[in-house]
Amino acid sequence: MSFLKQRGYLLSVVAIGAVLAFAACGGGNNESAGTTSPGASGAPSDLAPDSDQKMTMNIRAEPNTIDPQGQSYTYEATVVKNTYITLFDQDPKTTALTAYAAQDVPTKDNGGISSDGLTYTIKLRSGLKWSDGTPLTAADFVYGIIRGYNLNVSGAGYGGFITAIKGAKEALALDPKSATYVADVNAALKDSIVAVDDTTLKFVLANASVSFPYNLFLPITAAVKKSNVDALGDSFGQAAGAGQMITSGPFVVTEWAPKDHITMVRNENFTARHTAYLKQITAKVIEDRVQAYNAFQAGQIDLTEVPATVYPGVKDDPRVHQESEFGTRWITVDATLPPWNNKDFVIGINQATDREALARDVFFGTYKAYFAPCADTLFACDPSLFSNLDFNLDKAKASIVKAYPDGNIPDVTLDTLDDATSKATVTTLQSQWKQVGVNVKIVTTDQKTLRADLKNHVSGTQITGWGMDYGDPTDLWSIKTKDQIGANNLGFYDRPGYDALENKQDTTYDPNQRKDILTQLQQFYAADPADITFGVKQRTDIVNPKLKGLVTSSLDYEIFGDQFLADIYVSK
Amino acid sequence: MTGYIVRRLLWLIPIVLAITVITFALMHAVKGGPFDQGDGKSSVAAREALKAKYHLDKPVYVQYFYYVKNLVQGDLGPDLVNQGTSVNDILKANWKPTVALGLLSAGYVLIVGMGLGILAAIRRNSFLDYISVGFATIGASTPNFVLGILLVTVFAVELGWLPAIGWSTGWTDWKPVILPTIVLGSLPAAYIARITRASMLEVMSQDYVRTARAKGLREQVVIFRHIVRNAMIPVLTLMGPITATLVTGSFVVEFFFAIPGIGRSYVQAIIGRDYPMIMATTLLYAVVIAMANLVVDVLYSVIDPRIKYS
Amino acid sequence: MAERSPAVPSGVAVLDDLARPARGLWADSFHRLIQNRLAVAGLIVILVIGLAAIFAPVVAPYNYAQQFPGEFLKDPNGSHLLGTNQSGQDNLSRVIYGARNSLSIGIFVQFIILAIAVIIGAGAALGGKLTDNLLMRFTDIVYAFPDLLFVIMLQQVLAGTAIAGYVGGLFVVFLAIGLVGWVNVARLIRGQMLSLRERDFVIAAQSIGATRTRIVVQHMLPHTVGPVIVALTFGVPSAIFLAATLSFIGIGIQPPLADWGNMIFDGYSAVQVTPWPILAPAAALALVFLSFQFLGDGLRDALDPRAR
Repeated sequence: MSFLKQRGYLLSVVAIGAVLAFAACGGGNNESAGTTSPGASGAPSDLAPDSDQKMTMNIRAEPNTIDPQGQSYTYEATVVKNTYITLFDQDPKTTALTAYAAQDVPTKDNGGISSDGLTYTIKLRSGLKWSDGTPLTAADFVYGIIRGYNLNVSGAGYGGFITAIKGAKEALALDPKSATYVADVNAALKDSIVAVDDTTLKFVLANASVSFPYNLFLPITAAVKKSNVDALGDSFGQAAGAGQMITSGPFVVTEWAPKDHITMVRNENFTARHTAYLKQITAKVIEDRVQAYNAFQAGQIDLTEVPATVYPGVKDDPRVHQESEFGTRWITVDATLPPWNNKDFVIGINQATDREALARDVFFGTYKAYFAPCADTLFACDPSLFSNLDFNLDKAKASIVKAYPDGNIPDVTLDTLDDATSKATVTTLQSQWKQVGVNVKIVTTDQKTLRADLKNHVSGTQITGWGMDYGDPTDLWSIKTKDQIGANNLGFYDRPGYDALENKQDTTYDPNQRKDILTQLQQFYAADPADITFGVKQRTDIVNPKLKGLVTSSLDYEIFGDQFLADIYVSK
Repeated sequence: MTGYIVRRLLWLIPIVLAITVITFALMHAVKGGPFDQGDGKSSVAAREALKAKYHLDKPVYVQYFYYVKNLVQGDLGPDLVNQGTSVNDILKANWKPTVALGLLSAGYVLIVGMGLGILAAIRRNSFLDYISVGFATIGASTPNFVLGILLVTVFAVELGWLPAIGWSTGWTDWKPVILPTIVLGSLPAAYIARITRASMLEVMSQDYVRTARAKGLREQVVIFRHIVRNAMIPVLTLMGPITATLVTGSFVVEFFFAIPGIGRSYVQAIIGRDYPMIMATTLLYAVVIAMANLVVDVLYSVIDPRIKYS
Repeated sequence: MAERSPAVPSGVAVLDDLARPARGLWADSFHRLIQNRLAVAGLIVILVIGLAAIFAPVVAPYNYAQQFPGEFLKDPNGSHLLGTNQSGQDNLSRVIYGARNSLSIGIFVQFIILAIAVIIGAGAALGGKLTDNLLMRFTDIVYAFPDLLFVIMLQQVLAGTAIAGYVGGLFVVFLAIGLVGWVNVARLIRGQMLSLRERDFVIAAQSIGATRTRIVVQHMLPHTVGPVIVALTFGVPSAIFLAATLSFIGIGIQPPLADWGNMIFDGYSAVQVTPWPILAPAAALALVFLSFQFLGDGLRDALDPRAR
């Protein structure tokens, strides 16, 4: 989920907290009262009558689309993940891959992955259906996945993200304006994404990739029904066509009232797991976080985020739940611009950043101070490898002196959005970095200009971060490779040594060997970092106590448990 | 008079054209576009594909030509953010709450604002006058969302009498309408109250008022037939644009109360560089303003028969 | 407002009346203004706040940018008389420094607006049908002008120049507001003048050969003053808030500079935790606004030729 740019949600006038424009899907441990594990056999004993099984939530921003191949933002994923199934899902607690539409997770041992790692054979569960009762077959997955390579559909979202499949790079290089574009894309991929029969899928990769199966968790690889897409045309995924979309997940959309709400009801034809307990979910669009909180208190919605400033006052309220995000927040720096092109300077700034103070003062306890770029639950992530970046004023001064022995440190700019929390962040950083002799100029501007400024080497910094798209390390470490410059590598970080290690780890199937390589990668990065990680967001929500079965996960998007809405129920 | 009205309506055409040129030019002169790096996963190829799809790779004057060609056919273009939905459809789906809110607020402004202003002028320097001054002070020094938070905290959170967010779902659902109307109208009402008062005082000292009183007319007749009617000119002048602003510029209130109107569309479109939406909302605004001014000008001559247009 | 004493058929009283020194309209107005206690009080408050703003470094307890770690969003206490904001800065100091930025530019912009509005409004009302038509259609365009875009563009175009940095970027914003914000006042003036033009005393003045300028300045302008002063008075806080709203799209005063509008906007998300970050600047603004209202009322009364 990378940088969540919540469109329209710009910190606004109403100065609400969401400065750090990006979302995270998180992994990790969580404590949450009253949860049952997903797919627990049998309905809960305190299930209220069916007519009461209704829930209203806030998805915080209006989706641009709810087309699985068009999805890009987390608030869109909240809807899409509950209406369309993908081959795999992730375990809410461990983030490990689990079977969803597929029968099993493929491994070299069970034959799902060929010995050279280039061919994947995946069997679907039997009896999968569409919401209209018709059978869901492998051909539907083939159609959906190839559709994801049509940049006219997916260009604003995850189009171009999955490159391991054979023919993908060629398909992505085709001209989307061409009259034969769709046919050409199909031609490029028809031998690599194949429906062997109604329940068997085959993928052929261009190169071995350990992380590849995780891509089949992303909504862009969801199966979609071709006749439905053709019938709805441009309206597929838009408000006009939302009520007629034929879905495959625990819910089906019945209505999208533009700018107001999206209504989902239970899909009785959902067969991949137990049918949802909730009969109806109303997802309202309330962009003002303070007002969303007020709406919760007024009883209009059943759960919402707790604004950071409010948190200290409600910390002990049993309705409040907190969960670590699966991802980290950092300040990306432009590796080509002085002083950031000096690695000792970057290390020095890391050491000059008092993360505890930020977590306490700026975020009121809704952030955990953290200095490693990877979430501690991520495979092979070892935060202690980055301990040289921890706050230490003496070391910081020494590093800065090493970087600029003559003391002529260039000024640094912190670009940010103009809301109270962003300003508090940069103002605090400004005073902290002043302690080591670095002068910071603060510039507030709008979202688009922020991006443009970093891209054009004008600002040199951007407060952002990375929310994991899936639970494999490749998702994180690959964004710092040279390939990703122009895409997700915002800071122009370019290190051949790093790239070599990153490539190697994605092709090493043996976990122990892979761990070793990842350790080397992390050591490389700790000695030559591309950013200043400052924390991990603690998703803090307040929930109506009648709502049970909340399977909270660091993978959650906009609201608690939003990936597992099928397991939530209203209690008596 | 009809000739005058027709001529004014014809003037709309060059005005709208001028606005399209200015807006188009400004839009493209501003840094940042709808499909930039960092929004979503997009690779360079994907972004280029999107730009090409919406003709954004062509020179600006070519784009302008396409735009006008579609505009005269009533097609406001595709939305760049909700790709697959046209701007026409978005406006059609969401115009009602905005217009309703605007008109209700205008009513509030007129009744509360004007009422308070008239009372304050008649009972000059009395307690009522000071209330009007106080009303104006609060209305002007408290941005409307702060007033909103206050009202919501009291009436929605604490008392539970009114909802915190949302808009009415039908003619009988009146509760959600109250707070947004008050919040949106608070500043203009304060303004109109003061303008009314000032204008009334100005008129009250005129000779013809003294004459009317000397004639022995009842005070009420004097007030309404002579004073208020003449004092209305500046109030009218302002109600036109105020109503237009209320109808088209309710961004903050719509955002705050999560009202599904198009008031938010303008600002969000600018932030997201959604060109067709920026053009459409700007043009809508232009037409509404021009019409409001026309109505006001016509009303001038109705209220003050000495003002004539040929 | 001086009440005209009823005529007394006494030679002495009439002589007394005539014995009052004759004054020009403007001198007489000034004299009446200073007799209005509320107006004078308003003027004094404005002057005091103005002085505090000018001498801010001396008057304010702390620097407006100084952060106090561990003391973010605190209620008023011994070391922070009006509490601290979400960036850990002292509210009182920021209100005092904010007066400089918000007030000076808010008032300055009203002068720009007044100048343009008088020219256009009076010109339209008095210049004949064609001029009226052209000028009013021009204002229609300016009114419908995409102000937001204009401000963004102005800011981007001027970026890097000296003007852009003036008062932390706020000057550009207010300049833009002034350049497009004169329309209401212009229409107000035009409306009044259209009506006044037909009035007896104007026709009388014309018939005795008074020049256009004299008619406008001595006879018509004083009658338009009332509503126009109200408009300008309201214009100050409106401009302050409009400038703050623009920060939503990234145009605004650059931190750590303080500006009342931005302070109120920043304080919003924490208002249920502590209202002081909003209360302090809002109260200051209310005080100033109230003073302007009384002063404005006083000016209107003083300038009213009927109240001699």
